[in-house]
Amino acid sequence: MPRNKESTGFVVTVAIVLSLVCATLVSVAAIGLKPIQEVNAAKEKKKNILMAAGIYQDGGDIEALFKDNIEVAAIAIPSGQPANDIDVNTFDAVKAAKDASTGQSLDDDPAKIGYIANHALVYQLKGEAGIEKVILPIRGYGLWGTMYGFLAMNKDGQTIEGLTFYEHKETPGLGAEIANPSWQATWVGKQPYDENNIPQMRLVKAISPNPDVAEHQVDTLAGATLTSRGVEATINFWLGERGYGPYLSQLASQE
Amino acid sequence: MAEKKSLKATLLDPILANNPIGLQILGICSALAVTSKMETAALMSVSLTAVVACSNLFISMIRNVIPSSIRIIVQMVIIASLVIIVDQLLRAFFPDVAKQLAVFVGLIITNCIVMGRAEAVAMKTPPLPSFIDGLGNGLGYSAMLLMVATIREVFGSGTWFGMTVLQTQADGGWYIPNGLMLLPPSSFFIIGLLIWAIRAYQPEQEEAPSFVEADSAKPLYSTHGH
Repeated sequence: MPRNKESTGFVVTVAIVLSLVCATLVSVAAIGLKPIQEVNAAKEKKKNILMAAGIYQDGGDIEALFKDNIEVAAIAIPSGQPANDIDVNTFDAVKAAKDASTGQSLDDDPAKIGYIANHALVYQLKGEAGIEKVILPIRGYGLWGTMYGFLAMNKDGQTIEGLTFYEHKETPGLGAEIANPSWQATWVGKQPYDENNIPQMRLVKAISPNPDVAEHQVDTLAGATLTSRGVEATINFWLGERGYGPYLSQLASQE
Repeated sequence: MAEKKSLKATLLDPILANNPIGLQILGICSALAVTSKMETAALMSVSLTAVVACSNLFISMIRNVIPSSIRIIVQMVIIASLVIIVDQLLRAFFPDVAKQLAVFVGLIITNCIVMGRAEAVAMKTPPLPSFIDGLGNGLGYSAMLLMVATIREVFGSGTWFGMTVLQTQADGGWYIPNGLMLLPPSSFFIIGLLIWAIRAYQPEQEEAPSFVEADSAKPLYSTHGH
């Protein structure tokens, strides 16, 4: 035991040594476990795609269900044309967005994502008669961070079939309710586009009794104004001209 | 500690006779939040037990070199590091349950049981008894949590660890689930009733107890509500 435990030099030494030891342990744990966590994250993403598509079963085999029902395709943004030169297994829209050769920065940026990639992956739910729904990756800024999710649209390109968020940093109990399945279920059947084909989804305190207005409205999240605004901007941005709008109209015209 | 307790008593006393929730009324916050299902309660119990046992062990190992002026910070750093490691492990191996536990794993850092044992025991006891003491208190917390979770899940959802116990009407059975059991306030009632039961069984717990280690740790107990 040192003679003078309370001397400034000793206090500083203890603090530094302790910090280094603890930092090393935490880093080792974080880096060592990262591969397993990434596998989990990929699984969580597939689960959310299936949930948005409305075919997820609790306890079911996610990989098998995904393989049997979902076909991944790459499209160009915003033209919506198929992009066959993109490898769907390695493409990462968030990474591609930040690279000047594969993405671009946004000046007018309602969803506050900063950059958007020139391509996107779309997940097509195949039925007996071809594509039934398309599940589109979306992201936008909430209150604390970027919210990542999937929006499922009917093959008519007009009707929302499902919405999920699989990664976000919103406040538990308030903004984090975006991950609540019963709130997500209220989106099903909504018609985001107005008569000019502009997405006009609104998160409101009281849904209008007029069905023509109500079809563009979803309940806002109590106590989470900024998260709700973020969700609203995210949905309208990605369904708009600069997002999946052209792709969805092409999909509808193929009918 | 004034009197030397046997290791067995150190391990087993906190489970009933000196339960951290039942007698010391610590760690109530997480007991309310994670006990609506056995699955989350069990994982939380294991996590907290691991953290309190290891933090007691490590703090005790270096107790003679910790300068008293920064001792609380040193304890916090050790506890926080352990909690982050536990959180990372849960995310890797139990991702679904970890998602439900959300912030409560991180909040183990502020759980008064952990800090209380570090300050009251680990700072002045050799490593092995400290470790055992942490383990015992973790188990005491776990016992209470699992009891509350059993009552809440069985009467709130008709299941236990997801297995059907009372078949609910929604599934074609007879049982109408008690929705209150799924809400946090029900744990208040259940913990209150359990404390009543324990004190009826061991009436000596009724009086305000004055154990030696509580004196030094009292400011911590009274200023934190967790």
